[in-house]
Amino acid sequence: MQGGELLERPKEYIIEAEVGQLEVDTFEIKKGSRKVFSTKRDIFPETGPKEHHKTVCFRELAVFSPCDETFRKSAQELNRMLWRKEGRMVQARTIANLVYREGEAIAACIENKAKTILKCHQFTDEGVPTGETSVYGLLADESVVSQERVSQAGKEVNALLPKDRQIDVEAWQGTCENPAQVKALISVDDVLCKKQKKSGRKKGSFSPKKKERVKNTLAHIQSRKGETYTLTTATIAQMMIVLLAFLLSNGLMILPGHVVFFTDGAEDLLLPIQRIFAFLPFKLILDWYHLDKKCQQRLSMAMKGKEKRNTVLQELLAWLWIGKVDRAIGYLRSLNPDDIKDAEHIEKLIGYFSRNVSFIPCYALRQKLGLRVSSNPVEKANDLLVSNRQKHNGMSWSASGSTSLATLTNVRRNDEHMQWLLHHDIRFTFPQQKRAKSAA
Amino acid sequence: MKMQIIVNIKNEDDSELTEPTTIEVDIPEVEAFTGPEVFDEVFDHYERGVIEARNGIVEKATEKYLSAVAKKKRSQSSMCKEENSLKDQKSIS
Repeated sequence: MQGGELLERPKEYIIEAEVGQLEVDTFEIKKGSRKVFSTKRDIFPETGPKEHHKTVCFRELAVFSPCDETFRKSAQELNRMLWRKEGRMVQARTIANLVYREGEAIAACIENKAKTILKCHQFTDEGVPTGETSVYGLLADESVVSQERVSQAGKEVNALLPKDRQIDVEAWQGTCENPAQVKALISVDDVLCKKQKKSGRKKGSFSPKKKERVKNTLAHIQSRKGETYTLTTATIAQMMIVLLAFLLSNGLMILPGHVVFFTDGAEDLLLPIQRIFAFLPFKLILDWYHLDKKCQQRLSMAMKGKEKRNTVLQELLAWLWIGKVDRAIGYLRSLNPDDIKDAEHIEKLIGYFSRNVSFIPCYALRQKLGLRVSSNPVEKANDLLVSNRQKHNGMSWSASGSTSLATLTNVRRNDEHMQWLLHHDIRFTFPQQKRAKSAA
Repeated sequence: MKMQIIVNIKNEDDSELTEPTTIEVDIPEVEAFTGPEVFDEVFDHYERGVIEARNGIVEKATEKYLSAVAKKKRSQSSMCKEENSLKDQKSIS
């Protein structure tokens, strides 16, 4: 026992646990004015003034239940589950603060992890390679679907098409990636939520004309073995860096083959992808669902009447489905001006096609070959991680609040929540259970 | 180190309604709490074990309690039936 004055502080350290709210005695040993030992510092985790320490079981309940329901409902359920009486009840605001703090801590942990990984693999913090990158550019013979399979699929597609719409199968040879020989299939998308109004806005002051939104970027990664992992960040620039780090740390980058991106064609997604992954053989594929939706939206504003719009839309999509973008543009240019309400939208649609021409494949051929034509995995992830919880009537979010909640939901989806709760660390690998299943 | 939880259900006169229910659960040694960095992990081991044991023992004790309730009610109702049949016999005669 160390010499010195022993000070007992009864019920000074408070622990919020699933077994109850524990008020624990603490001890200090002082030698003169120097604190030689303190239970609060040397045994228990340090807390802020008036802050209660929260156990893993308590955090598991308090932090992850708001991923499914509102903070208020989560607080009610937690208090019921733990039989908390008046005066010891957990407040909704406490849960919200806990969620925001944990979400920010996870984001910081992932950012640090990404930086370390990038440094180990000779990349700058911004994802720029500083060393040899040829190892990442390997392509095996089987990286694309064999010529015979493409020819066969092409024949089958052409058999269903009229003569003037036959696809040039040879032109598409070598463009269809072999899903069993890719580095990864990655779908990226942004999801927007209503932004909270700034506090302190004066009565009668002008509200911004455009609705303000909070943005989260999501990525769904699928390995050649079928393992999946999702990432969430506040910005697309951050996402690209974290994504690069994930691919590097999981050994996906050194696999021969392409990285295939599926996006909705938004410019703010395309440019960062092209900038960060420029040193790799990568492919970008425009999601068919978004292409279809874009055509519908533009033609609704451009054409006179629903019938004319539908006729044009049907013809346009038929050309795009077989990857004939030039014919689609030609068709739009040949439209009867009398049928057009607003030619500007036609020009905008042509501009969209021209910008994305290199990302529009022959969807018919890809579908015949069993290849993915859409970014639907990330659309589903959008729903599961953000929309289901954050997009409801009357809900609005601060940027950090929305991102924190999405981050926590994602950690749970990736089955990393216990790792986080126990060790304040993220595995940053594909979920182990799924790995075992896919191996079996 | 072990934690022993004993549940005793007693009547108003302090007699035991059922035999006591006991459970033992392994808990971390006091020495395992070496510092703040391991506190969460060690205490989690304690908390999960204790909650599981608590729920288990209360479940068992409640089963015993309800069995006693059922036994008592059954004996009461059979006594009532006997009384009723005696009354019936008397009224017939």
